[in-house]
Amino acid sequence: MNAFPREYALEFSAVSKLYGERAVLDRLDLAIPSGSVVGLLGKNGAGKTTLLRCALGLAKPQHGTVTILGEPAWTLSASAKQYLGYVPQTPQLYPWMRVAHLLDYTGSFYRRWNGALVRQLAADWRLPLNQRAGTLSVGEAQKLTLVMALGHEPDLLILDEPVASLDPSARREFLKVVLEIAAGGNRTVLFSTHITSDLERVADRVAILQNGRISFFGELGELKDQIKRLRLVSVNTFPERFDMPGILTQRIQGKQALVTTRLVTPEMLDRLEADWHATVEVEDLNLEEIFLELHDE
Amino acid sequence: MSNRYWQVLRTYLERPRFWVLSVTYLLVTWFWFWYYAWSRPDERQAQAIISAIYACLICSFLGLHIRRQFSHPAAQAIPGYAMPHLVVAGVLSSVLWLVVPLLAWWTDHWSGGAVALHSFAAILMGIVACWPRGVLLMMAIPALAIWASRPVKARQYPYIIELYLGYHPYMAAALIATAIAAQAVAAWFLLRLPRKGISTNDEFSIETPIVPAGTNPLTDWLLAMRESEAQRLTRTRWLPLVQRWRAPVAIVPLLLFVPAVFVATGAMFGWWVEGEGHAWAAFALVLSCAILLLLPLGPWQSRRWAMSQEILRPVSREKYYRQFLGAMAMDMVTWLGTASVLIFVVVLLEWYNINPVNRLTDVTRMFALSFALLWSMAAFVYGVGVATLHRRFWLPIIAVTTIGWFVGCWYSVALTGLYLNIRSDWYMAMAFVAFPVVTAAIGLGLTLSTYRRWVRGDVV
Amino acid sequence: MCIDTLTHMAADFLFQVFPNSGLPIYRQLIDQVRHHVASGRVKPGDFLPSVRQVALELEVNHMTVSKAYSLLERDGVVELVRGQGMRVAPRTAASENGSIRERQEKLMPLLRQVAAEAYQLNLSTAQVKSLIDRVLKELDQS
Repeated sequence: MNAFPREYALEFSAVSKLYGERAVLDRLDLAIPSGSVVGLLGKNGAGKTTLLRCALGLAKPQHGTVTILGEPAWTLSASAKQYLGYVPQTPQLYPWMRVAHLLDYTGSFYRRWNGALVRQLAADWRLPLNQRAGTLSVGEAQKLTLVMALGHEPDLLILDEPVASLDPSARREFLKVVLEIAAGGNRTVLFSTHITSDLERVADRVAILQNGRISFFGELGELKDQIKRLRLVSVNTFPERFDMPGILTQRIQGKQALVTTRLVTPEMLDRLEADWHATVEVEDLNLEEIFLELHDE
Repeated sequence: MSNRYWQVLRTYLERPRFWVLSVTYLLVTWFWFWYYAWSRPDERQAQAIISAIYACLICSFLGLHIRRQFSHPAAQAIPGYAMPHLVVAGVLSSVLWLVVPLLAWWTDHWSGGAVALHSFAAILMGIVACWPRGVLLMMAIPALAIWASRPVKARQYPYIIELYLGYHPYMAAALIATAIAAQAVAAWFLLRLPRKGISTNDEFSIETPIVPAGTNPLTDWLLAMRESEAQRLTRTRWLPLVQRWRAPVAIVPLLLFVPAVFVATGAMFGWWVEGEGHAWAAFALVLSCAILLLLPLGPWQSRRWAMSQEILRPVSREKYYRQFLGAMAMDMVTWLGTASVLIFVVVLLEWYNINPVNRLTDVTRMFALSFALLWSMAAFVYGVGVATLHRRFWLPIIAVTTIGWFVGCWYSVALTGLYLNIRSDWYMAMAFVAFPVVTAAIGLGLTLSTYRRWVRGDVV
Repeated sequence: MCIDTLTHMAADFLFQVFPNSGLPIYRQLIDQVRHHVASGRVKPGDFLPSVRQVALELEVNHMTVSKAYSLLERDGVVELVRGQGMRVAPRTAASENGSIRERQEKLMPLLRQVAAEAYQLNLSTAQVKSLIDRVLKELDQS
């Protein structure tokens, strides 16, 4: 545990990252509080990996500052890296090394390597200790990379699409471990994914990356509370468009309408009913549906 | 029908390596040499030898290519797969090893023995198709060529030239027959292949093949050696921060076996060449070790994708890159150091063949010159290797750089004459020193600029 | 209160959460706790399973669970007993949130849905009222 617990484990401040002419990140702001489990959601190609690379100091933004574990990301010191763990999208293992040797070798770099924990995890996950890393299946390789990132008990764990290539049971096991890590409250986890169902279980906060910016960051429950789909049935015909703040998408067909909005309040519902002589039914949307509605162009 | 053959041919045309090799083959053998080879018979035989060496190279890659095609599950599933593939491969290789020398013989450009020289290509292709790891034999070709260039005392011609000129018709016939047999055996082997269910990766790498533990005792033993070397490197007390980055490669002890072959080669034919044995021996060693420099450097290149992970370990940016470069250099230095010791030993073995009058100075100069050549070339290749580490065609780049260095050395300092007649004028000696020094400086400059580029830019 | 008389229930027997539904997990937990209290499955004085236990057994984020528990505490449904966990509070009129008018307002959205559905099914007002009477009677009996 780091001696000086800080409020934010990771902060992005007006960060812009351009590749050529294209701005993948555009004046992005994000502040991840210590102790939270944050899921970074975005379409493929939205820039999630770029964001994580900037966070880790692997890529340098053209504008703005990134602060990780209290230090600037680009010049992250060796001592700060003792508390950082990273699981990349594709496992990077030395193919000729045996798993046990690979774990020992990685451990030799860290001051606080918890050998007992590593052995425990390897046993729980049935990692073949005497097999060469190059002959492991994708799931095993992913788990091994996770063990390697957990061995030094990092304060901040960053995972890039960690479960994309795992089968459902391996995914559940993986997520269980993430939950256990986060349970103490003194570890921060940031993982990027495009699988919303995993996020709903594991994360307490969601950051949605859209058009180079964070279009929403907050508690998942809040997001689900805010964004609802309204089913309106009226005796009169509806106009072509509803003109209300917070509407994300709308589909109107004569006397029926489906409106997705992000600012649902009882007053607004009353107003709708009064103005249009309609019955309003409020539908809850899960994260996948919210994601689709947010990205509906 | 013809469409199938065309599709198979396309698989060859779509690979950059065949284009690169073909173009350089044409340029070197035919355009450049043509200028020399048209009128002078001596140059023609050199041209024939160069053509044979290229044929060996290209046919080895052809063998790998067809091996991979037959390892593919489609080989068993698709009907009528075998014939077009075998025919196209056969035709392409025949163009190189049969058609070209036959045409040259028919037009009186080359002597008939050229076909025998080129048949090595077909033999090599057959070997590689059956045994893909044999492609490493390609590395032996330059050394073999030098070895076979040694003069045969009776008629003062190297054996290979005699073969070319047709003084050994039975040997020539045997070689050609072996070549045809090798291709037939390879074809039979390939047809049998799919039933065994093997797969081949033809991005040929110098690394030990990764198979599950327990399948191949030799591999297990080699990898166990590698692992103990890695563990030693992790625990070493001397420069531990640099040495720990050598552990994922840990290949140097394995590689020291290989030059044993070349030491033997170099030492052996030193004894065949009268009077100039020590110089040739040392030079052959320098050449072999230079070409084999690929071996310690190669695994570093294939480890480059791990850099983005390694930099996240507890080490600062600048220190990581410095330590990485230092570790890579350490591997090379270990390799070169061993080579230098071997050169020294070989030169010493020739002690009594050297004119006793200037023995000590000769040996010293011999060793110093070999040392200077080897290390300056290594510095140059290291610099180029590091600067191009993230480029796609790294292996060919390094190969070309090494060969290019030697060619440049040869032509800029009249290598042979100076090397062998070491009692030359001082200003010639200066010219001899200038080339290695300049190239070494370029290598070091490239290293420094690469370091700065890495530190400033995004991690690749 | 002695430790032996504590009854900690198994979390997955008590709760069933659907992480992928539109209803946030914390709301599902709150609703289920309220339902258990209303139906008598969980009596005043019983201890709910700890945050950690719920998070572990249901495989959800512990902050979600702790949010649910703290909201329940704010509403007076449960109370925190130092060192022992969340205990179901005794049911009094004052422990319910707000006045009668406010509580009625809370029920309105559901009732509107009931009314709309009844309209669709072509049920008369009297028929709907008799249904409501029946449901409430069932709740009282349990």
